[in-house]
Amino acid sequence: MVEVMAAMVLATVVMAASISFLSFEKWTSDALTRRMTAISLAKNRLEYLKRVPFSEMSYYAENDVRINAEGVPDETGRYLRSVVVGAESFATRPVDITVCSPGQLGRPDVLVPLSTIIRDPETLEN
Amino acid sequence: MTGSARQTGGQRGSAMLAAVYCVFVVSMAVTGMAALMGHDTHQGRRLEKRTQAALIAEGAAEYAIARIAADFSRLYSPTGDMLAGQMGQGSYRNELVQTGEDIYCLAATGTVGEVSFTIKAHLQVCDPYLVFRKAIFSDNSIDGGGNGQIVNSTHSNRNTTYYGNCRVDGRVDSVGVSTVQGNSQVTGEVASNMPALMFPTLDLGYYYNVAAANGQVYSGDKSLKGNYAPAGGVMWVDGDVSIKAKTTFAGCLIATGTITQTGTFTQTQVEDFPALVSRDGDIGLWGGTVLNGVVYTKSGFVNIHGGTHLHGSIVSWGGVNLNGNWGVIDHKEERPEVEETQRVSLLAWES
Repeated sequence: MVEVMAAMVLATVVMAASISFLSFEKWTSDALTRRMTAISLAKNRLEYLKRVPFSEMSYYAENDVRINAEGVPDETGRYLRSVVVGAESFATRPVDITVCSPGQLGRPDVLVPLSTIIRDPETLEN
Repeated sequence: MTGSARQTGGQRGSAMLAAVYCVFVVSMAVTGMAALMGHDTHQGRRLEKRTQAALIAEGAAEYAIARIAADFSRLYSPTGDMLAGQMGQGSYRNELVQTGEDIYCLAATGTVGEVSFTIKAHLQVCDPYLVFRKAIFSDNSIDGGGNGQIVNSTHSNRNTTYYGNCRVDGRVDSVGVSTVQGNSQVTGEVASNMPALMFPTLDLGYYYNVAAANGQVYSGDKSLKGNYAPAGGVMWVDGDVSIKAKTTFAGCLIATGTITQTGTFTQTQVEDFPALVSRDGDIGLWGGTVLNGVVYTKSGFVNIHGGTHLHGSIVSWGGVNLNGNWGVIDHKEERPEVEETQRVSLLAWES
């Protein structure tokens, strides 16, 4: 009887640990998905900025604009996008884009910052 | 009694064994899943760093290209921030390597943590003065026969053929085929399938204005015989020019038509003006010729049939033909007025 009880306790502890682990795994998987989406959103925004007229690039600076997974502004979106367009230097502008997916239930945020320099395409013949 | 006790003890052992087995299986499954999860997380982080590094490299290359476009000399003397620096979450390093006569490769490497990414930009330098570093340049073919010497390299945007007793103290480059036959000698490399070089357009308007300001513009065909030293250093003839007998000329002779020289002709250079220029025709030299500066045809041929000593270079759109005892073309680099400006064009990205 004691051995059966001990076996049941052991199995219960392991099952509880497994359930906890599965929950953590789900959150990790979700965080990974959100990170991949955030990278994609930040890259897409950079590509978009490369195509806008160079002189108008600073108009596209923004701070914590809530967007959905397609990059469209959406009040219910899971992502926050910030764009900082730096001062012009030698017909280039530094651009910093940060896409954040706030963590839920006390989990940490997923934060993806990307930086590059965009050149005025008029400076060269392609 | 003893048998029953043994049986009960065996059942108890089976329950414990089953429980331990289940715990073992579940533990192994959890361990495997944890390893996979850790791997995925690591790969996700690594992809993020790789993306960051790629964009840093791209940005660094764009910055260097912009600096070169703004100031051509930065191609040869880059500033510190063109070569290395910090950007965003990492750092960058740029390297400029000349891969062809007028081609440069800019290799930009972005690094974030332990992840690096390199992107290459291939740049072509459109330098109109590049061809003036050659003894002979033609947008068409170069044919060299007979006897003579060329001191420095030649470049044809089509084919080059040297035969007879030609000596070239330099390279022979052609966009098409370079051929050296007979007793001809070339001290440098003989190369085919080379990149084309840009044919420069002389700023003839500049030279016309110099001639006009000094009353040296002549309409109709003109024959030169005797000694000439046009005021301002440029004579402009709207028509053909024939040079006969013994003639000296101090300055630059420009004709809209063909220039043909048959008598002894000695030309001396004034400032950095070209020697002979034909806008719409050919230039033919038949011996006893001393020239200093650039011999240039904007559309026609340069034909040298007899003893000529050119201290300068030949730049011809139509082609260059050398035959007979054509003499010596002794290169001297010139920088005449041209319409084009030095610039850089982006040929391709590579990553």
